[in-house]
Amino acid sequence: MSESPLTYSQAMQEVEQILAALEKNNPDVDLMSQQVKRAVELLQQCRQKLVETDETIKQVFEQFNPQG
Amino acid sequence: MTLQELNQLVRNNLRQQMPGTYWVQAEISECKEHFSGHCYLELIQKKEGQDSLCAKARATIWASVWQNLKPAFLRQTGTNLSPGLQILAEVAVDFHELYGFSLVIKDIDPTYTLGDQARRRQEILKRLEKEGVIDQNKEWPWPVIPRRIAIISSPAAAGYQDFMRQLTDNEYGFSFYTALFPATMQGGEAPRSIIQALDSVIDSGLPFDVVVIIRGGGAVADLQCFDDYALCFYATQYPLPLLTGLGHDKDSSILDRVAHTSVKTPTAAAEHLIATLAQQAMRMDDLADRLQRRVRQVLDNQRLTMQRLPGQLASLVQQQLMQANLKVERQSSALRQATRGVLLEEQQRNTLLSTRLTMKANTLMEQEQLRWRLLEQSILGFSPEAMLKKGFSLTVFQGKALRSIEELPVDALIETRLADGCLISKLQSKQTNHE
Repeated sequence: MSESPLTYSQAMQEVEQILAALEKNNPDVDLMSQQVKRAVELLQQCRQKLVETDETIKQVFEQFNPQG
Repeated sequence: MTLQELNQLVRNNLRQQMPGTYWVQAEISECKEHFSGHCYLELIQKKEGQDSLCAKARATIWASVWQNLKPAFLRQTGTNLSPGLQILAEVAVDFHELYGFSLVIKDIDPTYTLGDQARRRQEILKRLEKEGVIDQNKEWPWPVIPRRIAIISSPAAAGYQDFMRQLTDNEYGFSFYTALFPATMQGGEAPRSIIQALDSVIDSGLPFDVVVIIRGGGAVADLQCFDDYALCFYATQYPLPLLTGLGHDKDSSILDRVAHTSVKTPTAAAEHLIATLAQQAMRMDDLADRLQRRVRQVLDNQRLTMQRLPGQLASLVQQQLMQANLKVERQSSALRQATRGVLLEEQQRNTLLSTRLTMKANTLMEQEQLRWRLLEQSILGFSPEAMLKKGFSLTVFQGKALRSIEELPVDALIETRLADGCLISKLQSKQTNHE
């Protein structure tokens, strides 16, 4: 599973595309459940990107900050 | 004559010759506030269009004047007396034996400074516009999720603390990566210091989304340093979007004008970043919401179809049946119609037949009757009465019609009946017919 991770914008765009397709067509239920699953995964990833904190990155950034 | 005596002479002459006050245009090159409350300045005049000086003088604002003048000037111009500032000052000329020539400032006209500032700002803005760079920083797309933030500020400034607090304690739980690049944020040093800090951001090699330039809030502070041409030009050329929150509430500076986005305070800058992320969170909520609605809709439709299917089937069958019925009925009606025709025809034929039969029968009857009548008539014609009328007569003996002469004795009384009466006679003889 070496999928290159999508950027935030790419992921959101994909969700929007999935939604647009679902709203436009009368989807087959099996196909829909696949698509929805994908969309929900992407949304979770995106949401994560707003709140997650990578401690390594944080430390690298904060080395510039004044002590104390 | 001693030096002191000479200097006293100069002083006395000066005071006699130049007793009043003068309004003087000058540029401040130094400005220091003494703890005693007095303000000491150095005023200069540059040669027209050059940096070299053609005049210079020390000046003093006594504490009694300064305590009123300082806030009034700040209030009207949005800036403190500081190096580089052009002022129009009412001065008295003074000379001291020990400290030499100096001016005593009695008043400063803030409108002159404002006018000068405005003119210089206009010049710089025009120049940036002419160079075609004034909107260049705005051309960067605003990051979709600005989380990696370089901050240019004075570390000790209240504004920086406000900014950090606002950013860290955001109600959504968004997390940001911040790095502070310290700079002097006021006075003549500020432009150069800010440029250096901006350079350090690039040199750090960290992938920042945005650079925030903030300065402590609170008192209305000096904006002059953010009108610096070199700083503002540099800002237009900067490879990351700039967000300024310089803590002013009146006019904005040229740096605000050229920055990608400008808000009033450091707190507002933090809010702006949070709002950008919040907008994305809303976008996600909206997508999730629509996704959910669509799924429900599709499933509902599916369920409805399935529920409707038997009904539809039944109604379909019913419809078919009805159609079939209708057809049958139509056919049978047609049949009836056709049959009725046949029947009618038959009936008519029957009627006709029966009529003819009746007629025939009648005719026959009539003929028969006629025959009967004729027969009757003919029969009646043979009745005794008719016979009698015709001339025949009936002979009766002892109440019986005589058919033979044999049993009749001579002298028998016989009765001969004619049409109009009867004859009673006595038999004399009888003769048998002999052929």
